[in-house]
Amino acid sequence: VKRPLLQFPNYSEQEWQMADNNGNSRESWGSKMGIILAVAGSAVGLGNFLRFPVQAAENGGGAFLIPYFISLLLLGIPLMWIEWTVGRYGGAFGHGTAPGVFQSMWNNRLIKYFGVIGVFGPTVILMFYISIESWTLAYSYYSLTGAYADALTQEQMVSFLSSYQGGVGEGGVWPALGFFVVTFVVNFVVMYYGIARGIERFAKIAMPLLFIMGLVLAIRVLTFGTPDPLKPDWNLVNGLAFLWNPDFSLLLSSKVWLAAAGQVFFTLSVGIGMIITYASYLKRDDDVVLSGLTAVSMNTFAEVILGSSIVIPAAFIFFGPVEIVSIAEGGAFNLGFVTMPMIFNEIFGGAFFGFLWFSLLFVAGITSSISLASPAVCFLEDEFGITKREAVTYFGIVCFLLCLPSVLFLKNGVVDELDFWGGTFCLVLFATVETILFGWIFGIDRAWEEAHRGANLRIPKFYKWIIKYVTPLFLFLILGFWLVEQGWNTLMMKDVPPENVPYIIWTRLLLLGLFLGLGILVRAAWQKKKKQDRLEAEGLQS
Amino acid sequence: MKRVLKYLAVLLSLILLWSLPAICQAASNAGETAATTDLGMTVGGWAMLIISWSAILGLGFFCFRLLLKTKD
Repeated sequence: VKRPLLQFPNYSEQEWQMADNNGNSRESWGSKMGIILAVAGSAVGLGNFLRFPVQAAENGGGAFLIPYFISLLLLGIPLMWIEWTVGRYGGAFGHGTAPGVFQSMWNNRLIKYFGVIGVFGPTVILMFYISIESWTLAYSYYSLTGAYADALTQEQMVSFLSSYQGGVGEGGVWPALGFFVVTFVVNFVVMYYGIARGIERFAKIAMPLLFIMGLVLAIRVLTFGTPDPLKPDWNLVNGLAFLWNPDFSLLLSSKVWLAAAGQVFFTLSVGIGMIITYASYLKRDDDVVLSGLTAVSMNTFAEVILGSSIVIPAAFIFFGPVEIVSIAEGGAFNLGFVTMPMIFNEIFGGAFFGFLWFSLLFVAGITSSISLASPAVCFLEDEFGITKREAVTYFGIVCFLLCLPSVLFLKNGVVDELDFWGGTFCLVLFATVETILFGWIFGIDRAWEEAHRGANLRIPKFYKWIIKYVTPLFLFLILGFWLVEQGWNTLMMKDVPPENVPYIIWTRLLLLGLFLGLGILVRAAWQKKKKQDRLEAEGLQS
Repeated sequence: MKRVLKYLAVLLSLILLWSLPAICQAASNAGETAATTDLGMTVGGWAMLIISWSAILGLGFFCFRLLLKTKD
């Protein structure tokens, strides 16, 4: 019998009941606010406070906000709704990760292998993200101990950072490794306690704390005024002007639109499978529309209001209109780990504000890294029937080993390579296919109905059209432009220094092994289930 | 009356947002000579800041208000 190309699972009421029971046997969130804070925590990361202001300053200032908000409406919010809906749908069938969730949406034997990206991508990002997160913990500690207080020039601060990262400072690689281990343990301890008692409880403390710290820092920066009366131009209003004065001529540049779409895309944690996992722990009639929109609003608040009020204005006030240009061009990490500590060295109570700044980044980072680890843990738990604690332990051991290259070989370009595959390539590819699956294969009418189950808010009808046509088109454009502008060069290692090439090749082999390993695990899990179903059927017959 | 108060609150928020940086600047520069610069915020800069901040705060207000209305 020839199988139809598109075969949808048309479940009967009885099957839905069984699915609900299956889904109900999984953990669930303790409260609506719990999952909203957890998803917002997943979205609010280092990029909100470091990447966004740099992107805005480099791409037209205030004018950048026009493509930013358009991208948010056409790409960010629809993708957020898609992932919440898809996740809750899959959760009802006992699946919390893309292989199982996609399979429950489309009876195609290959789609589960595509879903591997939804576990692979977050794991690859996690491989370097915990390491970067551990720098913020280290710098919080160093702020209090005054370790960087003697670094008064940009060169000295860069040297301090490099010696820490490269393990050439006092104590060699041990301080970096030590802070990494502490950060790693905190992440996995939170996960060990599960969804409601671990992640949700942590998010309920961490997120309000993050916003309070952000507000305190923003208010401090907004009251800097003109610290040096001899340089009256180095003041707050001019600092804000540097970021907000619009250059509308740049709106004609495709680069600016791509930068805005990329920023929206990367900041919301959509298109990689983490939100699918979080939403899979929802109950079948829990709202997804309003919850998703609230998570977007919290992330945007952290990014546009807090993010734009801290680093760039502060850097302008202390370094002036000329140096700020090179600082912004130096990139987000330079701004966060070099420029900001230098400012803290200058101000009264700098140790406290330095501690606050790096703690803010640490909290933003940890809520994101926990969500990055969730798909892999959930995959092991759901598809192999092991307990959450076993899954966390197994994945913790493997993940620790996977993270080591980014700590030990940072200077050899390993982190950039991991970011390329996990943070860019997989993200765009996964989101594109996920959107097509949702709007075209699952069907926009079914998808619409599914999204509105238990919804506290109706999505405006024109979004049906946006989700079906505009969002996929937008994603294809991003994918195409990105492949032409960056993808090919990175793939061919054109910008890699010759001494780093072996490290990049080894990293790629490691990633290939990881992807194949996950593919084999998916196959093994499905075969195991098939065998179980057969045995159950035979048992019933006899 | 309720509606008038609502509009008034929105208007006041906008004015506050508009003048927040200037208030902060004035507060921290009290007694100092005003900055003489041609670098300052343009009307477009203020407009972009106010519109985007208001949109984000408005969305947040809308979502949380609705969330509080619905049972957990």
